[in-house]
This record gives sequence, C-alpha cells and structure tokens, in this order.
Amino acid sequence: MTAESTVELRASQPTANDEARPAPVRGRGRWALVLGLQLLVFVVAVGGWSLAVSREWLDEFYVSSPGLVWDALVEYFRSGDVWTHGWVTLRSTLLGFAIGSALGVLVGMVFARVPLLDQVFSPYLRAFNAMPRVALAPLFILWFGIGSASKVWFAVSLVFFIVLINTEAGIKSVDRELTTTARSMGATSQQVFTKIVLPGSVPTIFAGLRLGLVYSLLGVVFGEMLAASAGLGQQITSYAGRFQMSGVLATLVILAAISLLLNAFLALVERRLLRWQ
Amino acid sequence: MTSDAASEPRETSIEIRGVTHHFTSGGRSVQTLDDVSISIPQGQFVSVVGPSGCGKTTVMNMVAGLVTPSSGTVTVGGRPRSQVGRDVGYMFARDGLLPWRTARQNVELGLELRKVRAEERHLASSRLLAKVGLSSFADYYPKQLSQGMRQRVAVARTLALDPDLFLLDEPFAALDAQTRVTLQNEFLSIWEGLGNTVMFVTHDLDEAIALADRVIVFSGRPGRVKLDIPIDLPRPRDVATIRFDPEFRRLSELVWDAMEHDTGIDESTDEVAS
Repeated sequence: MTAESTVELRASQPTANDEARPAPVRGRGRWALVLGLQLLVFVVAVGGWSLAVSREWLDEFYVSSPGLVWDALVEYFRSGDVWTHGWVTLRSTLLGFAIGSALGVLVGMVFARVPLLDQVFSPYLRAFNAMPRVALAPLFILWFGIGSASKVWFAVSLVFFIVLINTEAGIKSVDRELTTTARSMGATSQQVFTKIVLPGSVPTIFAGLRLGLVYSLLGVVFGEMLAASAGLGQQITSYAGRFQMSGVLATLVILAAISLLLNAFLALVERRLLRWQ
Repeated sequence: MTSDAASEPRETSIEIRGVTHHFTSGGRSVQTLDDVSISIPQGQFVSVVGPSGCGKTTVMNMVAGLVTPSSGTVTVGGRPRSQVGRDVGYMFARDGLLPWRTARQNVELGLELRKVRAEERHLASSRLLAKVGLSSFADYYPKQLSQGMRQRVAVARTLALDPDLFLLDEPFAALDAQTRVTLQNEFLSIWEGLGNTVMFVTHDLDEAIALADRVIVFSGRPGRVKLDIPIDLPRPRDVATIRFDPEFRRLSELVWDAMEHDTGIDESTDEVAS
C-alpha cells in the first residue's frame, strides 16, 4: 500500500486490483490461441494414432484405433450399456462421496471442538491413513459382497480420511483475530463456531472434497474391477479378458467424461460458495 | 441506533481502584500493573499511552470484562465487571472483518449475533454505511476494499451494536498517515454526536492528545499512572490542524517529557516484580 492510494483515490476505483490483470481483449485473443493449439494437439494425437495403426507401425490388436474406439462408443450408447453400467458406477461414486465427506466433515468438527477425542484417536487415524488403503478392497468385497455396497463402503473409507484431515486443517487455519472480534461482540461459543469457524474453514474443506470426489470414483472403479456384476470397472475387466481393446478404451473415455462432469459440478458449487476469495 | 439503547442512556462512568495484575510465565510471576486507580466520568474521551508492555491493554481488557484484576476493583456504571459486557464496542488495529461477508454483512454481524430481525438489520447497516461514507460499497467483499475503507466498515460494525462505551486499541495504527487523519476526524465527528465514554489506547502521543479530553501516561512494567492531564483544546477539532495549536504543543511537550524517562525497563521494575 503506497502513499498515493488515499481513500478518495480508491473510492473512485474500487477494483484497482484489475489493473494487474492483462487487458480483456488481449486475454480473449490468448484464450482463442490456447484453444486452437489444444485442438491441434488432439488432431495430431488421434491422427498419428490412426496413421500408426493403418501403416501397421503399431499392432491394432493391442492399441486398437480411433475408428474402432468410436464404433465401440456408438455401440455403448446404442445398446444402452452406457446408462446401465454408467449409472451403477456413478451412483456408487456419489453415494461413497456423500457418506464419506459427510462423516469426514462431521468427525473433523467434533475433533476440533473436543481436543481430547482428537488426541486419543489421531495416532490410530494416522496409522490407518498411512496404509495403502487400496489393499483393503478385497476385505470390503468379502464383507459386503460383489454388489455395489462393497464399492460404496470402500469409496467411503477413502473419502472419509481425506475430508477429515482437510476439515481439521481448515478449522485450525481460521484466524484467531476473527474469533476474538466475534467474542468481544458477545458471541456465544456456538455462534463463534457457526458464524466464524465454519465459514472460515470452507475453502480448505472444499480442497478436500475435490480430492475426495476423485478418490471416490477411483475406489468404485477399482472395486468393480476386482469383483462385480455391473459397472464400468467391471466392463473394463470384461473387455480386457476378451482382448477387446476398443471396448476397454471406450470405457475409459466414458469414465473420463464422468470424472470431468463431476469435477465441473463441484467447481460450480465452489465458485458460488467462495465468491469472496 | 437500536431503539432500546436510545431510550435508556446507560451510565458508563469507569472506576478503577487499586488494581494490580500478575501473570505467571515460566514459573515466575510477572507483575504488569501496580496499584492503578483511574476514575473516568460519563462521556469522557480518555487516551492511555505508555511504553509497550506497560499493561495499558490489560487495563482496557479489565474494563471490557475480558481480564480479571489480581486485586482491586473495576466498575462500569457502578456495576463490577465479571464477564464480557454487552455495552462495550471494542476495536483493534486490525479490522477483523470476515472475508466471506460483504461490507453490509460485516456491519450486521453483531446484530445477527443478537438475533435482530433481518429488516431491522438492513436498515441499521444502510444508515451506518452511509455514516462512514461507504453506501455504494455495501456489497463489496473486504478483499475489494482499501485498508482505510475496511477500517471504516469496522467502525460501522462497532457502531451497529450501539455501545455505551468505546474501547479502542490502536484502531488506526495499521493505516497510512493520510487515511489515518481522515478516519480520526470521522471518528471524532461521530463521537461528538454521541458523547459516549471512550477509552483509547495508543502509542502515538500526538494522536492521544489530538483526540482526547484527557491523557493518561503509564510507566513501564509494572504499569503505574505516571501522568494524568486534561486536554482543554476546543471542540470540534480537526486532527490535521490542531497539532499547530500552541496549547497542543505545550501538552505534547508535557507528555513527551513523562514518556522520555521511561523506556519500559527500569530498576524499580525488578524490585517490584521479585
């Protein structure tokens, strides 16, 4: 803050921060350039892949081809498999994410309010979190069967810890000055929590939620690959078992699309909630 | 102002009698205040200055009800202080605005804590934002405001609670010189219209004299009242020009003199602390 930034000066230019950003026209031009280059990368990659297979530099049996993957995708939609299997995977992912993050936020808050609980449980939770938890997937299959319940609970076990740790970190990151101010205004400890601590920890919690969503999908797909009667993960194993490379790759494309959609949705919610940042 | 406080003006004269304060640090007892007695009549603007660590903020926290004296008594309006008083408007050097709330929502925070209805809150915040000249910035987030504007929002937030007593702990310390003078003048003109009791802690001697009816100088730790002088400068005052008044200079010399012999550490400190 320099001397020339008097109140009057600032008052007429409330968004002085904007000066730091490049001019909008230049920004739009740059955006078009980036988009053009991105498309170029896609065309070169797919074209090169297609060329390499047609010239038999690569074996179609192992790498399939853009045309075959496209056909497999069309077949996915024509047969309706994309809806039946996609829905199974999506539902398990959302359920696992919802339960895992709700528990994570809840336990994180309880720990923040009752430090004794935090101290007692933290070594166990840390040990459990340090474990490569994918290794637990077979146990979940044994406990909950090959239906979607085992996938949901496996995803919960992944999401819970990520969100718990972020919730705790978020609550600890809230500025002491803000809680003191609220107290000096006569806030009860309940009010300090709901009006100051909770909203103050939202950014950090959201970082955990974003990561948790990715892990939820990962857990569900991995569980389905292990043992399942339906779901996109099960489809991958099934196609791979029949050496249908195009089917495997088409399933991956669908999974990527689901993942991007879920992330976009969360980003939208985040932008609305964190407008102030 | 909210209606209830306006209808019953409360007595907020402050009586501090024979107050001492100790805290324990590393097994050793440290004395921060030694037999401090101050009597502040209703409606007086008192500045408290002194070297860092002299306990001036501790005295203020006692008046707020945030700290209990080791011995002695503190009463506000004749009632002893036992818990955080709801009649107090506290302001700090940092604005303490909630970054996720707009200027308006920040001003309304205290009213929300007191469960004031939304329409009433909205009316109050509109009036107060106008008072601090930020009507057109009501929906801006703190991040979008300059430091001076943020501190104005903090002033409006403090006024929203319609406090009977202002406790200000270097509220203008974080501002650049020009903005500080603007805000000091604005605060003075608001206060001159209210006439509440004010306790103002600062380390800026000129600020202390320019704003107050009376300046109290604390000695270094443990804090004792070293000088207590009335400031008989005419009101309304302009903080920017009053420093050229000969009377201001005379008072300034007096206060400087009292401060000069005190660096915060002297022999008597150890004597009393042990």
